[in-house]
Amino acid sequence: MEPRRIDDYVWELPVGFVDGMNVPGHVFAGEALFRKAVQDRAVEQVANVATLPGIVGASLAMPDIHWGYGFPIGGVAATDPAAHGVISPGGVGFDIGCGVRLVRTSLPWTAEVRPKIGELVDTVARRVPRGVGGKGRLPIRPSEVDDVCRDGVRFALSRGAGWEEDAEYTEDRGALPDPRPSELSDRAKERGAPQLGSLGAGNHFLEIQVVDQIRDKRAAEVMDIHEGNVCVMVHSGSRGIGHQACTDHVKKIDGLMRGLDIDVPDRQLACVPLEHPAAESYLGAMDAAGNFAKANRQVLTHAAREAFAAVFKRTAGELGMSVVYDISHNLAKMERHDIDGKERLVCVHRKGATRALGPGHTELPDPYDEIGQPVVVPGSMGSASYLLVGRASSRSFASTCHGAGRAMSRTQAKKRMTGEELKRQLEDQGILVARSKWKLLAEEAPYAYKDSTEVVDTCEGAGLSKVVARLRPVGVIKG
Amino acid sequence: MGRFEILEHTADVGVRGRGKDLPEAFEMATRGLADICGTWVPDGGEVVDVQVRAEDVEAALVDWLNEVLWLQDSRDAVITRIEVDDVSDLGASGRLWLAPREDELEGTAVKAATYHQLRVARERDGWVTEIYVDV
Repeated sequence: MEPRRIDDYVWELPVGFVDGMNVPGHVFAGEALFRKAVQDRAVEQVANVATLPGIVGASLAMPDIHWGYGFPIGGVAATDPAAHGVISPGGVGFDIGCGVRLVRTSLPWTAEVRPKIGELVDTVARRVPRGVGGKGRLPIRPSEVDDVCRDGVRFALSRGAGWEEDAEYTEDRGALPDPRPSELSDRAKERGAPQLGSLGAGNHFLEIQVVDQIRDKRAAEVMDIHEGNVCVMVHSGSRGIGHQACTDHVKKIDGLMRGLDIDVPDRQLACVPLEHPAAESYLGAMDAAGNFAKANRQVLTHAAREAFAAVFKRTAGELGMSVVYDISHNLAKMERHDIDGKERLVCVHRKGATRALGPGHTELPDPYDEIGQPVVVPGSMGSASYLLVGRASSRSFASTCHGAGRAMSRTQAKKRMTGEELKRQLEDQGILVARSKWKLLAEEAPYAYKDSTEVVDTCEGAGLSKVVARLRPVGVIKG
Repeated sequence: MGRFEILEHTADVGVRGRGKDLPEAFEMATRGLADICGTWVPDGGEVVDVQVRAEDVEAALVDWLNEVLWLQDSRDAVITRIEVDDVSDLGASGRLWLAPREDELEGTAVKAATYHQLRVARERDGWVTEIYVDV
């Protein structure tokens, strides 16, 4: 069975591409992106996901697809509880609730920020804990983790770290609806508690960016985004609490599978029927960790606001530093979708994919009712990021891409250039990088990623989302 | 003499450990993990007994490495020495020596060890483990 191209933007992996597929695989990609996904073996992972019990529609991959563990990164799968559909924690991943937040400012780049960019990057970097180990900006006791996991953004607000409106402009109005912190182990709480308000490492970052192109004037106007102005983008997740929650629940579910007579082609796809108590337990832990991730980005936002206020000698309010939107790209949600002409409640796994609701959805903040759900897509360090709006595509369970997607391993990336060389190259392009472990910087070099423009344009062509604005980095604080 | 090597992966990273016997192959997998994290600092430290119970020997490797990650993360510690005594289908046991982290680490944060392409096998000249971790 060979893949076949359905249209300009979708490739199909027919049932039979690998043994045991229940539905076909659909990869949203043009010719070049699809070929990369085939070389990368990620396409095989799309087909493996199609073997999950109770999967409906198709096993999907967004254009930023790349090789993951179990699920591909960029994977989307909907499972139907009425058809003994399963939840697979690997379909959310170890960084539960990882996501991106965009904060606007009223500061013009050329007149106000460019002259102070060095001071600004240093000031933000000093206030944002990052890297391996260490404490976050708002460390808490393990006994307080339940409050964070229940209240999400509002926990941070209760500690003075933000504005009331911030919760409204965070997906799920600042907290997932069904958190059960009791389903998190003591180990997860102990691991995560000191880390609230820290970036983490790897591809996580806080960037100072300039809006350098507006493609949808009306949507940009609604979001108060203006060409030439500066924004802040935060990419981080649930830190150790999410990592441990996933570890614990994958182990538990892996142990249950033999008794349930479920067989999967990759052990990391460990799964359990949605009606099983272990599924309910995982989903409660996932929502709890997802709320920790939202609180984490909130605390980081507060740190960035404080840094801007210190440098520009005005309050963050005077600088117009409102949250545009905050959205996750690693979650599973129970959602209603039209499947074969019938509305069904399904569990949509998004592993490196973003929800992309269309205009008029009740879950959107009122001002965004007419434009649809904002989707924040981080580029790689040194390349453009994008602000999109969702189109609620029935072809993708209302999902779109989450980033540029890696194209090269970390080892390969480091062989091409040293961190110091990359830093100088970025500076030549007008991008200042805060002091970092240079040895690791090259792992996240722009050449290690796909072209984010090609990814978002493919999503637009396929009708999954629409580009509103392009943002160019000018200051990078790497995790 | 055991050894480890880093395996390429587009988004994440893998470790192959080799040893004359299973405990040594597990030790080498742990060394590789610490190398990725930047937490291998062979000097001093206090001993911690480690024991994991698992469904099979492959799961024992996942659980062992996840235990190591939990210990170094929750204690904000570096690893100074590793000894694995026993590995079987039922789990693994041994000791780690940990010391408080003093400097910023030249490493990548590892979230977890995964079951993806997991392999524990006997080869002509000893045992080999292969595991991918999420970074």
